[in-house]
Amino acid sequence: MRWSSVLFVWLSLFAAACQTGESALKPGLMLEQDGAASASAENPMAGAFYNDGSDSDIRARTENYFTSDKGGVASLDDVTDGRPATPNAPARAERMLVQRGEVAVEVARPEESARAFLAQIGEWNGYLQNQSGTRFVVRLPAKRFEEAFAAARGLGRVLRESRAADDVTEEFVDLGIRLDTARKSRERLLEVLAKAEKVEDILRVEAELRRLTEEIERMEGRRKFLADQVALATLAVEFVATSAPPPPKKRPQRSRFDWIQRVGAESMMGGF
Amino acid sequence: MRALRSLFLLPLLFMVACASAPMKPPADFVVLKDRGEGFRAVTADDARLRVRDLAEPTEGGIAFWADTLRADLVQRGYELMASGEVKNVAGTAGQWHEFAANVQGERIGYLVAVWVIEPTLPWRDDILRVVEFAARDDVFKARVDAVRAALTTVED
Repeated sequence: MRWSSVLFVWLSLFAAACQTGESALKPGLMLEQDGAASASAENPMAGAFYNDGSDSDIRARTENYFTSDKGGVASLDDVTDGRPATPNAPARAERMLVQRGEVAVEVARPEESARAFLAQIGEWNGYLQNQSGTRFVVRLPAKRFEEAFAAARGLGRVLRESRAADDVTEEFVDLGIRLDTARKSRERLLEVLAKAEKVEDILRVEAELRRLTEEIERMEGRRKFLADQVALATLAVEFVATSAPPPPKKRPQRSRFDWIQRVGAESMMGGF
Repeated sequence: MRALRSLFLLPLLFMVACASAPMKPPADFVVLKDRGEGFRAVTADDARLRVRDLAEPTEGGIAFWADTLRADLVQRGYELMASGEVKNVAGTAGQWHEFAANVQGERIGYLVAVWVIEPTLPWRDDILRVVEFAARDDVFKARVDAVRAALTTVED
């Protein structure tokens, strides 16, 4: 009984060791599985650029990324007041993309098409940023970008189109860290200023405070700008009028009457 | 022999009389005597005047022919400047049109007048007596009034 117990315990330990050893032999695989699982659990788009080594899979996921409703882009819900709503929001696998596109379509009546398009943009809480002739630049919530792009394409014959997405995640996160550091430094400087007694020290600290405050404001401004660019995509649409068919070339016709055919300034100035 | 010569000369004189000028061109015009078509006269500054009788089997009145002529020339690219009526020596009503035309890159003034002359024999076609005057635009403008006035001298 005692030996059997010892044997059972020993076998259990051996089995556990083997399992551990197997895991240790494939750390990458485990890591990838864990990463994918945790990322997809937290954010369905987080795995969009997850690479399992297959090109087709990357393509599929990229397409999925571009056609998904969320688009993997931080919205204004995530970014408020220049700061992430949750401190680590951009630090997650979620990408912050600045989306912009341009479409030129040939339509029969540019004014009517533009009116319909702008009405749709308004329904999506977008707005007209500027207009030049029949070229309209609109801003709209990033999650509506794909729909708006498709809507513009559907208005007529596409003459040209382009779109791009700039990943500003790194810059945004970096700005957040630097901003945090700068704010802490300012707080410490304020403490130093409160304790400073010499005029020389006070002036030096105040100068440093000014510089730091300017830097903080600059970083906050940039962060707000990035947040705005991420939250609202930019789409430029140009409506080109369908070129009218050229008027039929007026070809002189021969007169039905021979005598009229024989008169004219040409015969007078030519074979007179 | 003398009588024979007279017999030969008489018809000749008759033919010459019949082939008299169909109109009196304005001063400065010189009638050409070469073998060109119809009655032709020119000025030193190259204004050109021509009178021709053109046969037309279709029986149309002067209004029909004048309108058709105008429409065909406009369709050909001529710019209609003016139109009017005119009577010839015999009092037959005719019509004239004045055009501006571009001939080989040069702006040309062109006046055309037409009368319908009924045939003396019923089985013959109508004759359209057509007077044409053309010249470089500046020359045309200087001479068109005189030519228009001379239209009343056109014979029937």
